[in-house]
Formats: sequence, structure tokens, C-alpha cells
Amino acid sequence: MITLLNIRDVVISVGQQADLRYLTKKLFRDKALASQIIKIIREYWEVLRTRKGVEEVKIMNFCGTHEYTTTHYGIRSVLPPGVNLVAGPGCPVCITPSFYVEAAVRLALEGLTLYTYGDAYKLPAVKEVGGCRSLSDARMTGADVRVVYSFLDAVRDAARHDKPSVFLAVGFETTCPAYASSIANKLVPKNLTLIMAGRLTPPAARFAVERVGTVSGVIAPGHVSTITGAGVWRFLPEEFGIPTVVSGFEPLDVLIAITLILKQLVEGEPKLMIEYSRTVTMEGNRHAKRLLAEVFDTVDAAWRGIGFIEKSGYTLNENLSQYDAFKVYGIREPSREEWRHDLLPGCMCGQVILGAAKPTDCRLFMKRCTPGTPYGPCMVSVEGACSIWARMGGRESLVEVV
Amino acid sequence: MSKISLAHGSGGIETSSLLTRLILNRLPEWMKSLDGGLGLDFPDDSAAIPVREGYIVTTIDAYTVSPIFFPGGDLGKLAAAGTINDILMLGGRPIAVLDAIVVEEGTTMDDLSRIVESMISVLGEEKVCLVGGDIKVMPRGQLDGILITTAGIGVALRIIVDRNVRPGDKIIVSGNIGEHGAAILAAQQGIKSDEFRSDVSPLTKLMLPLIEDYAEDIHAARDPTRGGIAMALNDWAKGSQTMIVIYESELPIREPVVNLCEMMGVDPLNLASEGTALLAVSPDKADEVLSRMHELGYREARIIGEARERTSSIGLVVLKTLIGGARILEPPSGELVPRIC
Amino acid sequence: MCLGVYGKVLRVEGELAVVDFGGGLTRDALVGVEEVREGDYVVVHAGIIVSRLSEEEFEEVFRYVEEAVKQLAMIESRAAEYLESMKMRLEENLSGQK
Ligand code: SF4
Ligand code: SF4
Repeated sequence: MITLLNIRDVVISVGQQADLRYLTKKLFRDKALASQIIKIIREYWEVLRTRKGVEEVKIMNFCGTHEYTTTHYGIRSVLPPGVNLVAGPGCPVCITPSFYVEAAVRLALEGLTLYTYGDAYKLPAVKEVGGCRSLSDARMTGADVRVVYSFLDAVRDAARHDKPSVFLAVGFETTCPAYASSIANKLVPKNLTLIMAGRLTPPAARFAVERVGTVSGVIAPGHVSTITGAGVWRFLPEEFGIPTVVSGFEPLDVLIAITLILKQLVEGEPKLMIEYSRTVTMEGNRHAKRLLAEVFDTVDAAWRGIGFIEKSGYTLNENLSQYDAFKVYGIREPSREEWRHDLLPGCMCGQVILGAAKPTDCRLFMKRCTPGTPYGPCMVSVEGACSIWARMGGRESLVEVV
Repeated sequence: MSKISLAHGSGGIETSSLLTRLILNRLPEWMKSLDGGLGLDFPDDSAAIPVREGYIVTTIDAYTVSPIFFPGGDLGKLAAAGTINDILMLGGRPIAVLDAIVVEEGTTMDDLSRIVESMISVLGEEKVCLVGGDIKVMPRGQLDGILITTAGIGVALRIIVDRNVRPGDKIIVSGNIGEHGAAILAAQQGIKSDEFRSDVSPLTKLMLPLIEDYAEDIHAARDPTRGGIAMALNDWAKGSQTMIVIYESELPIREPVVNLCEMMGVDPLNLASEGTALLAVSPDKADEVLSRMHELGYREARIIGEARERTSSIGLVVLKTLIGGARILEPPSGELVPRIC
Repeated sequence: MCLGVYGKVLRVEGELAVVDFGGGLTRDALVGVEEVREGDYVVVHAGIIVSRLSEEEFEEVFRYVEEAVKQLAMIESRAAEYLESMKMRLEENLSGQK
């Protein structure tokens, strides 16, 4: 019987030096280990193909960061031709409805200081506001738009200058606790309000599998799951029979997740597994969940290019309306009835996000729409599927070329 | 109406397409090409004007940086070293520099003197004369601090031109990648750490001996400034009709720079270096050139890849990744801003 | 989505913690978890600690791989050899860290 050596013993024998930051990079980016796992993937694929007559395995990664890992390390180029990875609705930027961007641009042009992350800064709206389509346009016309790395940076900066300021608060379960915690701890200065565009991922995942239907496996988002707990993905194997693996973001994490999905397909027993067990648990981060529940209400909300999804958005709860930019500046959010399809003509982001189309299926890809001049939302975020394909070429199998 | 954005100045594909639209397309052929020399017909680090014996090499560049004083250097040093390096990268020996300084009203005399002092001291150390210049002041708010434009003049017996990269050539980098860009990014993001220092420095001590002894074997040379090595390699592959293959595992990038890039979500291959040379060297001389570089004090110098015959239409620059996969290394595009996802 | 960076907690100051991201790169972050102590390894996303890294679980994932190999070994005998070389590689990696 083969057993793995006890890694923990080795770690201890090395002394208390076991630096997990270093170990992660060393272990989970190791070429020799990767090539072994790739061989295992090929073996499984052979088994599936020859013994089960499977023609294609289509694995969806919900998370844009998984898409980034996949393209950055050229993972598609080492997989057997029948195993395909497709992108899912994993990026808070591309799914932020145009309406929020338009509102942010309007407030910026009215003279408020606007804060956001680098990705949302370039996000284009469908409609121009004062000749500007995005916050970066607004800055060009002289508006005070500041790109920050974290909400905390904005909190500190706004406290310093005391001018009326707004934060375009995009994000999923991972990002929203920073807003919740700052508000709950009363760190947010009076002059700073939020355009709350936070979204919840499991409802969107359900929506995606219901519409797209044909995925053979799901790589579930690792960092979202640190907060929500892996348990929120249970419906995928239980209701839809889809093998689901919560995975980390190093190349070996993704390769192992693929292995585990293929393994489940061979066994014919779909389950929920946590590959990212070094930081994800079934129940998640109780503290953060409590903060989220305390500060936000969960409501039906719009997703760009997709439409309304039930119970999929965070709004600031009633008694915190002094932080709500929409309430403070009298902006009314469009209701489900008023919501309009918010993609520009020709942009296929809606399908790209749902994994139903590849960026290269879009006629505008790398023509009218490039990372420098994004036309659709998926070209904006560095994590947007279109942007990733543009910059890193998710295209053909390059290995033969090299 | 389209407007100029910061992306147009970030050294990636927006910059090159702006230059093409704005300038190159307006020039008739005769204005671009210098018979027997190198003009804008094949844009390179510098231009070369043929003279009786060899060439006069000339270049001009405008320098801005925020903050103007950064760990490892300042705007003055950047302007002097940048211009010297542009001359060197065409195979020239720098002789003289001219400068034009534009200052914002209200800038302290002390800051301005320190910047100029620093520029002059770099030129002095490299025995390059400052033979002309100009200074202008702009009203407050119409310019952010100081802008320096420097033009350089040098001489060369033979020139090293980007479009001469040949299949088989080894790609050598003289030192750690992305150090200048990382130092600026860290300074802009308020990260105080001794780990980040710009590599800004003239490459004279490296390039003059190499030009002297290996001018025929070095087929292309470039200092990968804005846009980083991703931009430089794409320019080479495009200009020389080759495909360039880079091995990720061979890239010299320091751990703190990798960490900073991961944290900010930027690619170190897009970060500028200001004291690092990228060379394409004929395969039979590559090892010799490499050990010479080590002797000259450039101990981190490494072979990071090679040029090949272009056999496929997909991708000009291909990166073999750490785990044995492959991806296309695209030229950078858009502004470098930190991201959350 | 949600870029997460691994860091080590240097100090905790109320709802903030100073986190070292390696190579002298430190920043402060909101504490988004029940509790953190000096020396803990954490995952930081956009300025907030979203989770801790568990040392015990760190290598757990390779056990999954081991199981996969065993399963394959039953189907195809040659799969077993992968495990041998993986074991060696893991050992090298872990003992090589200083
Ligand atoms: S290429 Fe541009 S327009 Fe087409 S789907 Fe992607 S983002 Fe939309
Ligand atoms: S931009 Fe990309 S990652 Fe983001 S939602 Fe669209 S497809 Fe997904």
C-alpha cells in the first residue's frame, strides 16, 4: 500500500520556520508536481473516454481569479483536448449594473470626491453622463476620482479632507465585510457615503447552472467561500448532480480541483469537496457573516447583462441610511420593472459571464473592444474573461507551437 | 469626442497607436527615413544619422514621475540616465545632452536645485557634456511639479537595431526585472519599505565594453522602460518577424517585487526598469557575452529565452509558464492601477 | 473574483492588524475574523482579513491526490509511479525551505 509521507513531520523537522506564504509558492507552483498531476488528469480523461464514452468534460469556474490562474499559467494548454474550462459569473466588476456607474459619474461631475478600486474605475456605463462613460472619463474632465487599494484607504483619506465623498462599493461576499466592519466599528467619517453595489454569489451560480445546464463540474470560488462557507455550494451536487470543488488560486490548486472533478465523474458520485481546505471550512467566517447580517439587508438585485436575481444583492439596512449615497443624494434605484438590458449593442458579456459563449465568439472582440478601449464590461476588469483572453490569449493549444 | 487619457502615456499599445495616428501617419516616407541610417521608419530607442565614418546617434525624451523623489533616485537622475541609455541601446557612445525644464509655479527652489544637481552629477560621472538647455515656468495647477526633456547625442561605428533579432538568438536580461516600476508603485501606494529601490542608472559600464567587443553579435538591445519587458519583446518580435519564447522560470524577479505585484494585481513583466538592458545575442556568443556581463558587475544577468522562426500566426511572444504550460505574452495595455479581483 | 494575498500578522491593534506580506512589505488590514493573534497566517482581501490559514490543513490536499492515484492504480497499474515521484518532490520542497 502506498502512503504519502507525513508532510507535517517534515515541516516540524525543518523547525518552526514553516512559513506558509513561502510554502504556498513553493509547493503549489512546482513544475514537477504539476506535471505529475497533469498525468493523473490525462489518465482520468482516458478512463472517462474509453470506458464511459464521455466526449467532452466542461468545467465551469465561477471565479474570475480562477480564470486568471488558468490563463496566467497556461493551464488550458496542458489539459487533454476533451477537458474544457469555461468562465462563470465570477467578477464583481463586470456584473455591476450600468446604473451604479452612471450614478457615480454624475456625483463625481457634481463635484463630489469619488473613490473606487482600480477595476471599477475603468468600468464603462451604457449611457454617457455629461460626456463621460466611466469614472476614468470623469477624471479626465477634471472630476476628483481617486483609485484606492482598499475601503480602509478611502476611509482614511476622506477623514483627512472632510469633503463630501462617495465610495462606489462593488464586491461579493469577500469584499463586503470590509464595508460592514468599517461601518459597524464607526470608522467611516460623516462625509463618506457608499453606493452599495455588493452582490451574493450562490444565487448567481444557481442562475448560471439553470440556464447553461450542460456543465460537468464546477470549480467553486475559494475566497468567497472563506466567508460563506463551502456549504452554500451543496445545492450543486445535491440538486443538479454537478461535482463541485471549492478551490484555491495557485496553479496546482486548480489542477487538483480538475483532478477531483474527473475522479468524481469516474466514480459517478457527485459531491461537494473542499480542495482549499487550508483556509475554507464548511461553515465559513461566522464573524464576517454576523457583520454582513448586521449592516446589510439581502434583496433582489440586478446583475449587468443578466437581469434581476432573487436575494442576490446587499443594501444598507434602514437605520444606516446616513451611509447610503442614494438616500443622502436622493437617487432612486430602478425597480425590476424599470430595469433595462444594460449592455451595449453587440456585446455578449451576458453569455460570456454565464459560460455560454467564449470571448472570441463576440464580433467586437479585439476590434471595437480592447483592454485599452473597453466597450463591454468583461473587457474592463483585469479579471474579466474578455480582458484575460485579450491579454493572455486563452486561444489555441500553444504547447505544440513551442 | 475622444480625449487623451493616462493610458495613452503608459507606454503600452495605446501609446504606440497614438504615435502612429498622431505622427507617423502624417509623415511622408522621405521625412521618416534617413538614407543609410535609422529614422522613424523603424522606431527604435534612438535615431542614427549616417556620417562619413559611422553614425551620429540622437534621441529625445520627456520625463515626468510622481513622486519626483523616490527610493533609489529622482527625476533628474531618471532624465540623465534615460537619455544616456537610449543612446547606448543603439550602440552609440553618449557625448552630449541638451535639456529643457518646465517647472510649475510654486515649486520650491530647493526641490528644483536638487533635481538639476542630480541630473548634472549623473552626466558628469559618465563624462557627458551638457551643451544647451531651456527653462520655462507654468502657472500653478497647469503642470504637476517638474517636467524635464532631454535630448542626447552620441556616436557609433555600427548601430544595433531592434529589427535585427534573428531566429536562434538568445535573449539576455542584465538584471532584476521591474525594479523601477515597483519602487514607484510602492511609493504611490504609500508602502514604506527598504526593499523597493529604483534601479535607475546609466548602463555605460555595461554597454560600452559590450559594444566594443561584441557589436556584431548583439543583434538588438533595449532598455525596457515604460511597458516593461512585455512591451520590449513584443516590439522586437513584431519588428523582426520572429517569435520569441521566454521561460518564466528563468526570469530574474526579486521576491518582494513578486509579492508587491501579486498584492496590487499587476504583472511584473509590465513594470519599467531604468537600469536594465535586454539583449538579443547570437547563440554561439551568448554564453561568452553573459559571462562578460557577470564580470562587469551585472551578476543577475541571465538568458531568459530565445528567438525562433515564426511558424504560426498565434502570438509573437510566448511564455512557457512555471508549471509547463504556455501563454501568449501580450503587450501591456491600459493604465496600471491596483485591482481587487 | 476576490484577489486574496497571504500574510503574517505582526501586531493586532483593536479592529486593525498589521500584516507582513513578505519581504518587508507590511500594511494594515481590518480584522474580519473572530480572532487573530500575532504570528497567525491570514488571507487578506482588499484591506480586510477574511480568513486564517491552517497549518494542519496545509498538506491535506495532497492526500486527495494520493487517493486519486490509488484509484487510478487500481484501474491502470502505471499510475502508481506518479505517486512515488510526487512523494520525493514534496519531501524536497518541504525540507528545502529555509
Ligand atoms: S469582447 Fe467586449 S463587447 Fe464583446 S463580449 Fe467581451 S466585453 Fe462585450
Ligand atoms: S468580467 Fe469576466 S470574470 Fe468578470 S463577470 Fe465578466 S466574465 Fe466573469
